Amino acid sequence: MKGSVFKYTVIALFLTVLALPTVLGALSSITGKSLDTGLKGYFDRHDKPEFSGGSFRDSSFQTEYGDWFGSNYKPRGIYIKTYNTLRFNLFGKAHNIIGKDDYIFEFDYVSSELSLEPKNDFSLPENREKMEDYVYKLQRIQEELEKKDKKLLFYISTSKADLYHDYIPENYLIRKPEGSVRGVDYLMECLSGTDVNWFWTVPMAEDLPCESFYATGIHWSRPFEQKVDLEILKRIRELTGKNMKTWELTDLQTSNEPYFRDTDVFDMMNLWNDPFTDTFYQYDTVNVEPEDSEDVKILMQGGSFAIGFREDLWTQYPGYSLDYINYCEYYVDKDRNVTRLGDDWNNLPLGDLVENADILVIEVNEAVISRYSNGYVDALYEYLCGSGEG
Amino acid sequence: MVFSSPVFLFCFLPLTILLYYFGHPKLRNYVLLLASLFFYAWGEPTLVFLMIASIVINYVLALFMDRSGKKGVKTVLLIAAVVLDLGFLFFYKYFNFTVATFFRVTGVLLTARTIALPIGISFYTFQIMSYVIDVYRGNVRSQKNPFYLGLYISMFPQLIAGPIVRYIDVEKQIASRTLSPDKFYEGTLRFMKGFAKKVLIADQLSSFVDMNFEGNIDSALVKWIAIIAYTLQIYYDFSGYSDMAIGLGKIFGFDFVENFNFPYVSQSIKEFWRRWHISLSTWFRDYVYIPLGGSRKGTARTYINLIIVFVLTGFWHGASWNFIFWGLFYAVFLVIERLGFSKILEKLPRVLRHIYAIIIVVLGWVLFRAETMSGALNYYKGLVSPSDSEILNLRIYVEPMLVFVIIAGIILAFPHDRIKAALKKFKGYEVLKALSLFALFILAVCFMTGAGFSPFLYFRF
Repeated sequence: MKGSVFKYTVIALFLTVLALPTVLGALSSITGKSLDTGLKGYFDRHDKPEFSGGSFRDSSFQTEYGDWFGSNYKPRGIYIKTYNTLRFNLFGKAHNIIGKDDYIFEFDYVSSELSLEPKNDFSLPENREKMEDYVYKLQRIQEELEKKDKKLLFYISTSKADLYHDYIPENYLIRKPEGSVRGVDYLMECLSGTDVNWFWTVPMAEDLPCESFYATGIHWSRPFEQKVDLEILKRIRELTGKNMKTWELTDLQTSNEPYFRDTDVFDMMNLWNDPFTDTFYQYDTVNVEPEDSEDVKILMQGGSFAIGFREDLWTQYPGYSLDYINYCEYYVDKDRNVTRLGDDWNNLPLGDLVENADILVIEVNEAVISRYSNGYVDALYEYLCGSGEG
Repeated sequence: MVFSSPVFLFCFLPLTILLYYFGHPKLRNYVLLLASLFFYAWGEPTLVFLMIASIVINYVLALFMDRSGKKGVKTVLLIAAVVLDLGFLFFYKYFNFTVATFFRVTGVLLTARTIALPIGISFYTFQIMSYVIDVYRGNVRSQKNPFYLGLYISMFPQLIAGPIVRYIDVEKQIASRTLSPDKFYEGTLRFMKGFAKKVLIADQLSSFVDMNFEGNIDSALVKWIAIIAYTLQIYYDFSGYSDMAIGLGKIFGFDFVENFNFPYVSQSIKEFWRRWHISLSTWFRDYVYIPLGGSRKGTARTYINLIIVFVLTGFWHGASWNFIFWGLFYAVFLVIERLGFSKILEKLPRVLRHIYAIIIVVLGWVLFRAETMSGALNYYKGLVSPSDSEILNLRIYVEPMLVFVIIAGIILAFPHDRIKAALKKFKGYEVLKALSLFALFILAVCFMTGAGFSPFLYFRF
């Protein structure tokens, strides 16, 4: 009898684990309570897909349902925190590289900083040649744009691995090839020999009220981002000569929770013992709208760092004329309509976008220099200079 | 849908158990059939019809075969069924490979579109063939209820990764089986054990193994560790899946054949193949090796039969030369053992016999894991080409968690019969065992969830 009771107990426990997401999901809907531990940070959002015969046949329903369910079931937060806590406390392991003082780094950033992969070593002649071609095209693009009374602004966003080089773990630092040259160094060397309008964001990291990159983040801290955004605006105004709307940074807010876009908040911030108690900062802003202000039509291409500027501009001035291209993945217009590009520039009405813009802004992060703007510069060059040249 | 996914574990499985146990007992087979077809269609929404077509065709052919008294007619029907089943398998699994090989040999490029491989086709084709062959041989009667045959072929616990269940073994269970709390309990423990093996050991080794086989690491020592890690990964992945299948079978009242029996304790290659993927080895033994004459037609013929069977075993695993050579690799060692090496082995201390077998098996996995023959050869070369910075590479790539998982994997790959026997003397052994498995299951659920946790890389829109 005793044995049977125990067996029933084990079966009940097993079935409870299986049924828990359904039960907690239902209870949560009824009571309006979360019934799970919250996770810090911003995550991929997956909408519940609508079922249709077509979506089931092409498997998109299954994929989307799996994504949606996988990121919404309860008590997912408890499971994730337990997983993170065990891995971090027992083995010092997380999704990303954990550096000194628990600073995290994404591999791509470390790789470019230390030239760990051949594509990131610009002492190699083939890489230097590609870079020179890339910068030559930027120069030619700017020249052709000038003829159309348009401008080009190119900027290099900073990598955490650059500013926090000493925090990279020793077992990565020792792998740096002897005599290697970082992409950012060679890119700046090439740009310096041209008239291309460009800048590097590192100087804006000075005099910040906080760290330029938090220990738990991959991207820069919010005040750093806000200062870079203003620098971009300043340069756009100078280049176009237009008195465009802008904003000023005023008081500094603080919070124990990260601000939106502040940090990636990777798994190390979701631990039961919660050893990371950063204070987060953000400047308040006030809009500056001159009476004779003129709108500047901006076409921007870049990655996640460029999105900071886009979001700030649209937050301060909703609907401001900015078209944004993320690598070669998607394009967002000022009304936030998204077009997927699927790594093919033919899917983008590039000519229309260029002709409609007053200024083209290109953002390149140090970590992705060896991607050469994902072919965007080639596509622009093709459009503006034609294939016969060069 | 894989067993170690939230959709399976928290949606499909509880719903299926609920419908199965709370529905009308007479409808249980139909519930299981529908659940199995849905399970398959989730991953193969169009190719599920290929499986259904295969079931219907084999059902009809076996029915006629059973009813026909004439041997000739039976033989024609069997040939038709086998040609059809192997034809489907060839088309979906081996056609691209054949075209590529033809091009390599002749230089003539046949235009052919790439054909996607249906999940589990090798498994269900072998199951269905065992059914028609056994009907032909008169070992079983044909199944009159097409839905029951459909259930046998498509039963989701073993559909996509085995064990290869033979119809003869489950014929009676399909018609009538007992459900009991004891069986459910056994199934639960077995499922939890398999789930933990897959998630806590196999999955934790995969990225390290992948990194090595992608050729990014120039270190002989790290490569040796990686191939040992792969030896463990494939065992815990596959045997974990088999455990889950057997456990699920028990939950639904079935007893499936065992598929693994601590293969890495083997002291010869012959023994290894009696312990590894047992359902496949016995399938080839009964339906290929013995019909070819087995060991009854002289020494030379025995060796040829062994080579045929193992080349086919390799080819069954995948349409690539690697797999063919992997099979051949084992055939060579089996022949060597038969030629007299096994007698020498018998005289060696147990530990040396074990080392011999494990080294052969570990080296064999290189052929199995590498994606091309040149990749395998490069890997072998890497194993004997130390770099200048071996210690440095160890520091870089061999993390504490990896070491922990490898050691745990090695320890648990042995049966530890004496320790188990000693523990069983304690009163609370069963309770301790069940609670430990439950704790590991919860841990594995955490790891499954955590590994799929995708922190938002900034914001995208």
